[in-house]
Amino acid sequence: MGKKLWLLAASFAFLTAPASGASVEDFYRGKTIRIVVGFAPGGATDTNARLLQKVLPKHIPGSPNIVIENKPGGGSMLAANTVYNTEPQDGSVIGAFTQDLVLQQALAAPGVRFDAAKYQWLSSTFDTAGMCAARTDSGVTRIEDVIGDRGKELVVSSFGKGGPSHIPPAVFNATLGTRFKIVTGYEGGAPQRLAVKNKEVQGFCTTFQTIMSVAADMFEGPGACCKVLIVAGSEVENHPFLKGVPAAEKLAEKLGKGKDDLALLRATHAINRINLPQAVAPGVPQDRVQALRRAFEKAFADPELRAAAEKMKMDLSPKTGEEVSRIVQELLSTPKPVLARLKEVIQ
Amino acid sequence: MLEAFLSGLLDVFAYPTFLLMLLGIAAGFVVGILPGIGSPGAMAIMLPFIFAMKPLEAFAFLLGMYAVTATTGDITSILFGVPGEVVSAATIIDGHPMAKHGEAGRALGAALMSSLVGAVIGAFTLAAAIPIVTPLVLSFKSPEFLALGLLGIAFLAVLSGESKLKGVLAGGMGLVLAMVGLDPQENIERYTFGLVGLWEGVGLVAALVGLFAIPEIVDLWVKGTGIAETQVGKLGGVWQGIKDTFIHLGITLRCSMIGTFFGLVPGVSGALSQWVAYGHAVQSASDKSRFGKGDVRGVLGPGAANNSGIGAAMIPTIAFGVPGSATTAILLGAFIIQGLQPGPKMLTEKLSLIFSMVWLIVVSNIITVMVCLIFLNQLAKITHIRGALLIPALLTLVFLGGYADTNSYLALAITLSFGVVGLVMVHQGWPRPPMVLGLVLGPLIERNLFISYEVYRFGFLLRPIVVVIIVIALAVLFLPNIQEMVIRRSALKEKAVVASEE
Repeated sequence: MGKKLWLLAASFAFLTAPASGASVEDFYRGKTIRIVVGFAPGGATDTNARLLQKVLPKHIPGSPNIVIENKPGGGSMLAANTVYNTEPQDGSVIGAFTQDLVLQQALAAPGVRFDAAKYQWLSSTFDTAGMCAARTDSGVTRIEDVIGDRGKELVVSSFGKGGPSHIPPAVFNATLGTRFKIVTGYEGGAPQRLAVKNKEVQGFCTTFQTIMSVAADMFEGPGACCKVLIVAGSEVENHPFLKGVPAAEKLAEKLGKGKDDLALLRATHAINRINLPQAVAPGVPQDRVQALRRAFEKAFADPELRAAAEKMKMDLSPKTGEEVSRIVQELLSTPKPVLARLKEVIQ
Repeated sequence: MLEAFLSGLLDVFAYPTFLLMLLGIAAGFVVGILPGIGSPGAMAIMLPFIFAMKPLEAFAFLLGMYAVTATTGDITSILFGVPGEVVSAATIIDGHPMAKHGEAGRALGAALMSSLVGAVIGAFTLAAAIPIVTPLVLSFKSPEFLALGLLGIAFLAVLSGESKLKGVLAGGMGLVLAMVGLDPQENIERYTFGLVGLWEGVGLVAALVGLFAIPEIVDLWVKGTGIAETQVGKLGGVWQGIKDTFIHLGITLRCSMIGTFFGLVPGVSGALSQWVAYGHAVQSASDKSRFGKGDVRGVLGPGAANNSGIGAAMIPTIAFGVPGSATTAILLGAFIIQGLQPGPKMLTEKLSLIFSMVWLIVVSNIITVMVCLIFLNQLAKITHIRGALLIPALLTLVFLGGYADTNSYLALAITLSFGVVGLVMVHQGWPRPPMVLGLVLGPLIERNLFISYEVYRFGFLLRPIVVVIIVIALAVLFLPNIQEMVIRRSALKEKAVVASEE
């Protein structure tokens, strides 16, 4: 009896021993890492995670298994809250959620139960920018056509306030004086774009990455219906869809807008530079975080992943965990008045 | 066009496409039969395997699975009264009572054959409609979606069986439950009790499983017998069910058309069309007395509709990138993984691939139905197994299914809560289908009402398609009453004539 108890105690001690003493490789060998995806299967965050799932194991010391767990809820807020608070903090759980949550935290939105500054970021997949486009038959061909009192009102479709389809037009309205009339309530990106295709509305705003991966048909080929009007940020990527399109920050300077307007444009653009991020909880030991960060870097350079991404016409622009952390910190230290104004603008 | 149609068929039988399709079918068979575990989850698991495949191979693998889940999902609905898939919930209403009366074989035969007819009709309608499909889909805007939602509301009373008032109230409760979550315009929390997990509303899978499965399990437990309460002759009847499909060919064909139409409309899923099909089956019948108690026509309608929609639902997904269900959303992901950008040019440049997908759906269904027919008599015997032996397995699946809806205990809690609601409703004679329909319609109506008014103001009410759909909805609502009135009046007249003659 005594022996059995002792054995039980020993095995209990073994099971609960702090794992940080072991090497990273020992820890991950034979383990299963869960990537908790904050959205249902099929979307960009999910596909991105599944792409990584294939190549990541061979770059992590100990080659662990990786499984995907979809945990949709609150626009991925549920997953971010859970990974931060209730999942094991040993490096066996990676969260994949939308970068917009960082902005939600900055704006003190309800439901946020994490501190993005303490999240240990591992990577992000795209460095992209918000943009707005108009139907070519709408009579609007340049952003100047919708600016000012004499500008034309352009109805744009949107899904969800405070998201990537709503922030760009709302912020451009507030800073550049554009006249986007935002109709929100569409069920997601696809219905949002369908409303443009069937001429229910005359334009839409999204990220350039979204256009490239799922909506290029709206800008080239037989079904082309639209033209990009403006891109967020201070410079414009060299791409056929963006020829002659102004960068929002440059345009603001040209129009003689003040420092406040520029600050608002910058803050909202920063978030799209860390598109599709991954992170682990604050309690995960440093050596494992570093190992995971390097693994993500190698995974993004992996020929297998590159080939798959190329097939998907994805132009990867990954950032390291350190870069993501820096951008998150910058975003969270945006001056209070700027954030207050942003909150007002997107309400 | 014809060339693409035929080469599409040949491609399906090429190696390894055919083999991958068989693998998919095997997976779909299991997934469809297990209640609560649906095709979206299965497809998500299958997704990473397709990175290395060619497009057609990938779709053979995925569509083989997806195409059969609606068919095998009907089997669970009939045998256990538990929807195997979201789209096979309506099959329960008449299919499960049939099983209880010992007619499981007949119900299964009818469900399988109507599924096959539905799949074939849906696929061929789709093939024929490709040239006109783009303008058709583009003519449906927010006001038209709203009108379709209202048409669904008109069917609430039809789905209520004998207690119309209770049915309409249950539908209202469904609509209220559909409001749980962030409101679609202002992101204001409604009835979420501070739970982030409720922001996206009540999960349909969790609600369905709770509402239908738990009362059945409790019922089984209380009775202490098998599912079939009576032994009506021999188990067989499968052949009768197959014959029923052709005896009532009109219903099967029209419901296939309904399924195809709803599949084509972007963003409106099979979750709605099965109920409309069921409502149509009830309304078009002259003798309605057996519906809800085990009328085979109530099995044929949804059986045909949920399969015919699968092929059609590819169109909004492929040509417009708008998936109508959780599964087609994942399929859209698969397209992108395969480097195929959805867009109208897919309908011209990749025509042969699209026809192959149509054929995949048809061939998968033929194989499934044949395999099922071999095992059907064995399957039907499940209804004679003692409840005590079935309950543990069913409970496990129900809880697993509830949890898997969003991978959270909250989903499990929702399943259990709906289980309690379902129990009370069954006990008090409240019909459950209207509540499900309310849950499905709530978001559709709310979103599109707001957008329609934002964009068109009240002008949206005058759009031609809207007017047509609303007239149909009014006909659905009032035609039965008018018919009844006419019958009553002529009966009165006859009486008066008889009286005056006397």
